[in-house]
Amino acid sequence: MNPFSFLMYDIKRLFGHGKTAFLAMFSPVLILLLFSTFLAPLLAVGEGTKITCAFLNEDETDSVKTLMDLVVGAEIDEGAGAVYPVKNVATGKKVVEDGKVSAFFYIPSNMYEGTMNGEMVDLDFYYSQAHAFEALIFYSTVDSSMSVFGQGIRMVYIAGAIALEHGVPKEEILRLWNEGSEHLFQIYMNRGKIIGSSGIFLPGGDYPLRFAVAILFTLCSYCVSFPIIYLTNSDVSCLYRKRNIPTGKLVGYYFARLLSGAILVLCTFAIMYPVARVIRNIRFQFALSVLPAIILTAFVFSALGIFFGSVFKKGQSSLWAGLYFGFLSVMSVLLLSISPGLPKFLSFLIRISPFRACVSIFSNAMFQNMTDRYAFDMLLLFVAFLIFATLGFVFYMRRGSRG
Amino acid sequence: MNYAAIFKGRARALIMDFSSLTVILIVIIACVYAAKTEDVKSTSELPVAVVNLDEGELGEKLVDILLAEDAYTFYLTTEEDGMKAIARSQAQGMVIIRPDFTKKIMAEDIDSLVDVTVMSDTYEFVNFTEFVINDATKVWLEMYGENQLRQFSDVDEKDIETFHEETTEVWNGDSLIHIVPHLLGENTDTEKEEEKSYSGIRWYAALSLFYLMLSGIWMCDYGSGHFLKRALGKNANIAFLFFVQSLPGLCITTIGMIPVLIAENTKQNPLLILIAYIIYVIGASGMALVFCSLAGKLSNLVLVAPVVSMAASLMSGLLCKLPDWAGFWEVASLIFPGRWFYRAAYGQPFLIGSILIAAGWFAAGLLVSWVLSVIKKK
Amino acid sequence: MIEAKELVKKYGSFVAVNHLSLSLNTSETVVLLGPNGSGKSTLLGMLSLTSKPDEGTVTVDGLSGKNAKKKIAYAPQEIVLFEELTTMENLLSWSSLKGKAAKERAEYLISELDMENFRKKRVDRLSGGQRRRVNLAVALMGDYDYILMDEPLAGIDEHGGKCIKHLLETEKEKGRGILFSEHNPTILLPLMDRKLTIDGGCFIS
Repeated sequence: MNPFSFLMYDIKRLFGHGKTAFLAMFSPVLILLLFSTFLAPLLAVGEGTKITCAFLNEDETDSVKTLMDLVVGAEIDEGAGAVYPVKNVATGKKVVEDGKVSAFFYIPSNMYEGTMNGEMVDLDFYYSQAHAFEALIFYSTVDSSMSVFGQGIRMVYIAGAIALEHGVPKEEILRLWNEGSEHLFQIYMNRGKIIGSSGIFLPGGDYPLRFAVAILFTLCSYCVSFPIIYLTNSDVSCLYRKRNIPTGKLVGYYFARLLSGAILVLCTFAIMYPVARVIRNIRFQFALSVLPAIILTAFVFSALGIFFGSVFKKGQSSLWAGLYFGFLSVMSVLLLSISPGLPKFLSFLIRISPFRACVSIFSNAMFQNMTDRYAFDMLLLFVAFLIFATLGFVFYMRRGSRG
Repeated sequence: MNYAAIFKGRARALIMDFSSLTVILIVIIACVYAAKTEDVKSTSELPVAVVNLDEGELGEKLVDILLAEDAYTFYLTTEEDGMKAIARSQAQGMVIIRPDFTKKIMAEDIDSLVDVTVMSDTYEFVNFTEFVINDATKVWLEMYGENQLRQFSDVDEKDIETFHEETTEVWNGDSLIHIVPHLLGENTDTEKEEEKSYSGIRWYAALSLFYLMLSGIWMCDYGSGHFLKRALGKNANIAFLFFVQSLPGLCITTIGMIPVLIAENTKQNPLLILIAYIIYVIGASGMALVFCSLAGKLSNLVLVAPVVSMAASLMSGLLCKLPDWAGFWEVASLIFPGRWFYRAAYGQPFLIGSILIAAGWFAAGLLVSWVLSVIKKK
Repeated sequence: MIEAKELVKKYGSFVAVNHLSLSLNTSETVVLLGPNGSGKSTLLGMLSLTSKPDEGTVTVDGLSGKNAKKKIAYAPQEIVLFEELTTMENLLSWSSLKGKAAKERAEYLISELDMENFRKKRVDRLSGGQRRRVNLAVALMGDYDYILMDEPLAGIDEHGGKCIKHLLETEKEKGRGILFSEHNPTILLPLMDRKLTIDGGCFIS
């Protein structure tokens, strides 16, 4: 048999293996579909989703009016959201309750006066259960920036008091106040520029979405190793063992399986990637840098599948081991993502795990392209591939040849 | 059939099945952890590298303000080490204060003062850029205030110092403007209730479906042509047989629910939630039967179990809140047992609906396995 | 007496069993012979009341339905067991007897079919022949008047065959009617009272 027919036979066996391979390749589509309809709308606040907000300003002061005009105008220009002015509080609450807008933002008449006099002013933010998630993100964004705005006014107030102590005439201080708050508005309006972008409200964009997409991609491609595990196990533990295959042929089988496994994973990607693009217009960039990452990942998971498949005698144990590895890997990546205060050793282990590297390389390569991280993750994946492939080879040969 | 013997045998097999038992143990630990931590998690320990390249003095000021933030763990480092930390995922983000930071602020310019890099390694960075912008704004404003003060001839260094001291207090203290959030459309009792996310019990419910499926390799038999035939030949009542066989799994998941429920400390009557949970798992085992008998063997089941349990819990709102589609899904999701458990957790009426849906899924499981066995026999 | 009249079973256009009638008395052993695909299993399925005939009737001591089923032990050719349970647990689970009676019957079958070595082993860890013995024993867990078996000797070694023979002898002495299909019933021949050969869905002798 020439090497090519080795490969062709193996691909035929792996792909033709009942519904397992079919399930492995097409379940990602289902997952992505669900993800895009259920999770993505919640995660994509900031970019993509629009926040609609009703708005009532009862403060007739010029500065506040200008500020609010600017805010409203800028937001609409940005296309990040739609703001609808309402006539009174009751209407504002009603449109929220009816689900027409995500939130209602109310500025009382004493905002300017109050803050200028150093009093605490409460603005009201109404939202409904239906839009709670996006409304609350919007809220925390507005709250944090408005609080800086409030603190800024306080600072202007302090400067004014110091000036007053030094006998600076009242008109002069008033000029200082006005100028100060004017500047404050200006900087507030352009606050995005500080980090080199534009707009007023800049929540973290779609970072959570990217993270989730990367985890899903990794998980789906990992799932493909189950049919590899299963078939490899039944091959080495039953077929080859009983038929006394010569070593040279066994080596051929091993590499054929490694390659066909990687091809199966790649096929999953080939299905998953366009589906993800179509169903949720996820803005993937840097498609070229994703390619090496995908190929390397495919080989890592293929090697991993062969390793699990040949390390245990029984197919059940192999599958369980594979399931555990996946389950624990996902858990640990999530754990690391919320609490880095883990024990040093544990967090080190998670950081060097191929699963983590995979998640990171996808989120990185698809959306950001941070070269240092990319190189490090690729290195990690390559080392993981070498380790799993070597171990897998050793176990494969041992289990497959002992008759 | 001797149902008592079946129950005993199945219970022993389940307790001796360490592979699946470990799954439920991990799940219980993780959910107790989730239930315990959700109230406390106001500050995050996520490390963010801060690199100060500023040639002036104001960069340090920003560093001080950032380091004082408790929303993230900011730490000062060099650009090289910061990059390394990001590459090795020891830091989730990096803030670089540009060399011309001071110069630009002095010139009242606000364009591109800092560079922000955030890796998408976590869900926690929703408001991250806000923090950096706000803190840079503070530095900018303080400098602006100082410059304004200096315009007055008799303001001396001491006054400037007082100004900075007081301003620092302001930055660390309350703002004058506070936005009060109000939740509309629910009465005030549930408003408080909604603040608790109940992620512990919700996720436990979601993951117990996963466990039921993984420990339910025996359910695959129901879809194989011969099992039901033999059981019927033995004059078995198939519904009761399935119930008895799944009873040990129901018991184990229910027992596992108790520590999670204690850790969660719900405002509802815990006993009521436990009842809702029991009804839920009965429905869930019907669901498990549907998919196990479709899967047919373990190699398929390990694929089907994660996908189905994720899908079902996502669609019923157990995994995370449901998005709003004009209320359509609020109604559509009611066909999932998980939705009714969700309702129970939030103190909404559930009893009759959940029993009906659980019974429906139970029947669906039997129906699917029966249809499958008829098809396979032919 | 199991009495079957004019049984017909069709799979699509293929007639598996064509107007067959037969009876089985208590204390009688009948062997059903015939090549693969001759309709033996289909006939046994109908006689054991696990599958319904397209035409014709089966009565057991004049009864039909559930009450009739209670009198018949049927061992199908396919192995249908609770895979994760032990031999003993399987016997008890499938038993139509309860409590002490079930245990005594199980102990009896374990010693008769020589399953002592693996009584506490999970059946998915048994060898093929061992599983076949458990599969047969499970069918006999009850107080039946008639025993129907589909190729009870398939995949079973000589020792196992002898065990089965001894068991069936005892059952016959107890007055039970036995009907089984087999290709090559050498071991069980001494038991035989009557022989039926079937081919193409009809009796040829």
